[in-house]
This record gives sequence, structure tokens and C-alpha cells, in this order.
Amino acid sequence: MPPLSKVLRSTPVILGGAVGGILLGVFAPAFALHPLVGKLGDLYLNFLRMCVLPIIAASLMASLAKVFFAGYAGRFLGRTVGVFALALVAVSVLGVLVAAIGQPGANLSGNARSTFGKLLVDSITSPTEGAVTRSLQDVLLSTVPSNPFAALSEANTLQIVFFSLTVGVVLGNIRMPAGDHLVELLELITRIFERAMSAALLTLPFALLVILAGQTAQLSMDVVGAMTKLIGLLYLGGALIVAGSIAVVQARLGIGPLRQLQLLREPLIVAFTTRSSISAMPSVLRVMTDDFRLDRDGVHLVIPLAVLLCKYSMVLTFAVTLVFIGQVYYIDLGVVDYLVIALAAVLASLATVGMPGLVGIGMLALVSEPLGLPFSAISILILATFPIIDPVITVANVYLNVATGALVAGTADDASTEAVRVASEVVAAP
Amino acid sequence: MPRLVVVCTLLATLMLALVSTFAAGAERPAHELAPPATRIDAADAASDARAQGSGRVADLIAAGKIVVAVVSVDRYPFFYVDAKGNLAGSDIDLARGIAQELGVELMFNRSASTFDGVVDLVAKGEADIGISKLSITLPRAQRVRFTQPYIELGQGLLINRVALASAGLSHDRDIIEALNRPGRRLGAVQGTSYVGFGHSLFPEADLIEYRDKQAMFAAVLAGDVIAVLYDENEIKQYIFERPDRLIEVKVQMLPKRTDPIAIAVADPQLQYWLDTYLELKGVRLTVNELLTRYPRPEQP
Repeated sequence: MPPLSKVLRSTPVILGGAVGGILLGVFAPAFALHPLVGKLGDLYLNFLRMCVLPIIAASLMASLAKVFFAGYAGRFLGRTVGVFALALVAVSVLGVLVAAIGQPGANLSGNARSTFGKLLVDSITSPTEGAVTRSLQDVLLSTVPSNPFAALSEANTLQIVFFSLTVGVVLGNIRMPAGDHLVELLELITRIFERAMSAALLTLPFALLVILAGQTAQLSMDVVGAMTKLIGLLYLGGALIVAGSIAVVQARLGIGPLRQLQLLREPLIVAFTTRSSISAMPSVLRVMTDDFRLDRDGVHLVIPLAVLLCKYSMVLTFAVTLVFIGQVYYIDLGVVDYLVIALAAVLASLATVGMPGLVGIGMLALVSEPLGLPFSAISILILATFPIIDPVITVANVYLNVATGALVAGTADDASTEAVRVASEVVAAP
Repeated sequence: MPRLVVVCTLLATLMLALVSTFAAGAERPAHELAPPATRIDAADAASDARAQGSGRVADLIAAGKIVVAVVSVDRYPFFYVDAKGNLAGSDIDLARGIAQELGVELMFNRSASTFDGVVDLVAKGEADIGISKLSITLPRAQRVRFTQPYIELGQGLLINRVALASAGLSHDRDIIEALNRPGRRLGAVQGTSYVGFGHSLFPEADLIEYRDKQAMFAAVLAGDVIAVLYDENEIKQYIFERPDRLIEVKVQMLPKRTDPIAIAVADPQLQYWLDTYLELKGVRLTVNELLTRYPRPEQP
């Protein structure tokens, strides 16, 4: 008889919780939609959020400081930005290609159109059909917090990242003995919350039961039926991203696909079920440092940045949706339009930084308007199907985070040789 | 010892003051709910009349019937002849409810061919009340009384989404200002008040007049005009008929442009009774409810 903690973390038990939740949602919607059930699910998600915020702030500060201590910060950050930009553009181009070839919006059946119409009728009553919008410019200009503690208490991620990076840079360049202690303290904070989150995963099967029950019961099957082609293409895009990421990780670290999936089992399951890359981040950090044997500081710097800034799942959704809109409204799109859409999807995703997924969809309005694509009706359709798209694209998002992290962060051995080399150069310099 | 007495007295006074304040506070909402002064006068009049055993409501009950004036031309979903040949609609049901509550027979007078004609019938006493999608207007209020509105019809725009997006206007905050530019094409039905309304709301834009609503709706669906102007009832009927049109067009209600619809009545006591009926029964309709509740009759 294995210990209970091992049983609760085993794949069959976790999947059992997930399947149980879906079945409850389908066959006992009254129970699934009970407010108490929803609140139990929130309890779990709130615990994850509670742990994630300190992890992000502390690990960014500590790992950036250590990268500066070791003296390879410039090259490291340059490589990070390069890999992120490349990955974002690649995902966007993939999304445009998938939608342009798959034609999800062309020749919609009368049935599908009337299902969409019925969904839109509810939206008439509300005065504004659009969603919250802010421009990319607003996002960039609001990066600097006037009060870092307010940024923390409001969970304003972009401001927290800016604040943490500032502290990290200064800490890494300050020549004071206490600097080391502070870094150690920050690392301790990171470890505390990682441990707490890891313990919380013991309750994952129960959390899945309540969370998935509610989500399944809320899903409108009519809409899902009418959107099968779009959903299928987004799944295909997600699968291609995962396949590409597996290949990158294998090329970089020499770990075979099956072994990768086995090691990443926990973060992928968390991503799929909670539909939140941030919730999966602590397990990603653990797997990449302990199992992939990557440099701890590099991983702790690049993964939080990747998770917060590079929303590949949004880029994919945006690119596919923009092409979809063009097809629904019979707007001819040429090669130049496709390129503009690919770029626009990346920019719009950057504008959603710090927003939860559903709100982020509204950012599509930013780029669809200059392209002359009417967005508001389709955004309502996408929102209605989002619960079924989200698990798959979140998994793709997390896997691509792992792959970019593996590309940027050195292996543990690289990092120590690097530190030695830099140290010897410093010694040799005068 | 005398000090204690003083303190106790003070405390007791304070308690009394507090209690009386709370009691007054508790009563206040009841005052707020009471009808405005004119209606209280009517209520007094009513109770006097009841005591004397006379008055219009008592007369109606004594006569055992109420005559309701309705325009002769059908207006779905307010009053129309349904598939089985019966008179149906929300105004008809409202009249039925009133007659049932009074315990009298319901008779319809459909001799008027216009809305003002209905007001005439009520003013001349040929009908007791008019329930006929009647808008409250100042000229009409010179001749009859109106109850509180039982529905408020909005005025709105039906906008072509592609035309809007390609004009770069998708999320302009103020759609009215955005459409009011030279060269922007808008539509309205010839001979309706919406032509004048359109000119005053969008003086800069080009207003195209269409001979009927079918032609106008077809034009906005095809994108010949960016938007058309009409009443909430017509716009929503067009959408409820075929909801998939919402993929191509969107509905935008105009803020602060509403048309209150009420019952016309000559007698003050009957007006008070009707207002009380509407209030207590919670009669407050919306176009969406009506279009869902009343199946559209087949087009001739």
C-alpha cells in the first residue's frame, strides 16, 4: 500500500477527479452550478494565486541578481528577448497558416449561423457589445508603478515584474556583503511558496472535481457544435506547438519525447485543468531545475518572464480568430494582410499582459479595427467557446515556455563553467 | 446620589430620542412609496365617491362592461389578428386583465384608423380607455389623461458591422458623433418621423430615404448604408425573425431617446385605478419579452 500522498499525486487519481468533474457537470448540472461548489473551486485557485505572486517577485529579484553576480546578465537577457520574440512570431505565423489553410469561417452552415445569431441576441440588451480596451501604448506607459506595494496588492503583474527586475538589477550590482544574504532570503521565500503549492497539489483531484463540474455545466454545447472547425484548428495549432516544443527540448537536452511527457506530467495536468499557465509555473520550475538539470537561476529568471509576458495561447487564438473574421465576412485577405495579422496578433497579446484570459480577448478589438475586421460579434462567439479551447492551448503555452526556457537557460554545468570563466577573466583583467 | 439620577435621566432621554428617530426612519419608506400628490387627491375623491356609491369605476361595474379603443390597423406584437383569426397581443392581454380585475365584460372599439383617432374616442367618451400602443405626447395630454407608461420603446440604430469596421469606427465611444460626418450614409423610412429625427441627429451625414422598411433593412444588410434609424420594436422584430442577421449587423439603442407608451383615459378616478393596477400587478414590459412571448403571425 503506497502512502496516501503518492496515491493522490498519481495520474489515475488526478484524471479520475477530472473525469468525475466532467461527468458531474453533464449529468448533475444543478449540483455543479451550486454556488458552494463554485466557491470550493475558487478556494483552490485562490490558494495557487496566493503562492504564485510571492514566487514571481522573489524569484525574479533573486535570479536576476545572481545572473549579474555571475557576470553574464547582458548576454543572457539579450538571448531571452531574442528567443521570446522568435517564439511569439512563430506561433502567430503558425496560427495564420492553420486558419488560412483550414478555412474555419468559410461557408458557415445556416444552422451554425443561426446558433451564433441566438447567442448574439442576448448581447443586444447590454448597451455595449465591445469589451474593455486599452492600447498597447497604455500598457507600456503603465509599466512603472507609483506604489510597488499597491501593485502587489492589486496583482498588477506587469508592474510587479518591472519592480522586481529593478530590484534584481540593483541588487546584482551593489557591492555590499548583505546583498548575498538578501538573495538567499529571496530564494528561501521562493522555496517556501513552491513547497506550499506542491503540497496543495495533493488536493488537486478534489479541486478538479468541483472546478470541472462547474465549467462543464456552463458550457453551451450548441455553440461548441457550431464552432467545431474553429475549435479543431485551435487544437491542431496547440498540438503543433507542443510537437515543436518537444523537438526543441529533445535537441537541446537530449531527453526523448516520452520521458519529457512523463517528467512534465504534473505541470501539464495542472495547466490543462486549471487553464492557467501561472498556476503550473511552480511545477515547471521544479521539473526544469531538478529533472532537466538546468541552471536554477536561469530557469527562475526566464520562466516567470515567459509565463507573464509571452502569452502564446493568446497569440494563437488571436491569429486564428482574425483570419476567421475575414472569412466569415467574406473579406479578401492577401499575403500582406496575413503578415499584418501575424504581427497584430503578437502586439495584441502583449497588450493583454497581466489580464486574465477572458478579459484579454477584448484586446483583439485593438488590432481588428485598423485591419477593417468587425470584431465584436465574433468576440462573443470566441468567449462562448473559450472554456473548451482554453485547456488545450494552455498546455501548448506551458510546453512552449518550457522549450524557450530550455533554450535560454544554460544547463547547471554550463552555468558553473560560465561563472568560473567570467571569474578568471575578472582576475586576469588587471 | 443626585448625580446618578441626573445621569439616568439623561440616558433615558437619549434612549427615547434614539427610539423615536428610528421609528420615524422606519416609517419614511412608506411615505416615499405613496403616490404623488395628484394621485392622493384622486384617491380621496375615489373614497368619497365610493362612500356615495357613485363615480366612474362604480358606474363601469354597474354597467358590467368596459369599452377599449384599439387602432384598426394591426401592430404586432401589441395588437394583431393571430393565425387562428383571434385578436391577440400584449395590449389585448392588458385589456383582458383589466376587465377581469373589474369583473366586467370587455368590448373593443376598432373604429379609429389612427392613434389620434383612439385619443378622440376616449376624449368624446365613446370608449372608456384607449390601449393601443399610444405614445404619451403633449398635444394628446391636452385632451386625455395618461397612466404611467407600461412599456418604453427605445429608438435605435441598426449598423452594418463590416461597413462600420472599414470606416474605422468599431469602438468609437460616441457612435452618434462618429456617424455624423460628411459622406457617411445613413437610412430611414420615407414619411416617418425618423427622417426628421435623422436630420436633426446627424446633420452632417447623408440621409437616404427608403420607400419602406424592407428596402431600408435590405440596404443596411448589404452595406449600402452604414446604419439605419428606426424604433426598437421594428429593429428587434427584424432581428428576432432571423437572429443570424446579427452576424452582419448590430443593434445600438440610442441613449435618452425613449417613447413612453401608456393607457389613455378621460376620468381621473379610473386613471387612478388603472395606475394602481399597473403598479400592483407590476406591469412593466420590454420589447424583448413581447417578441419572445407573442409568436409572429404569418405575413400575408
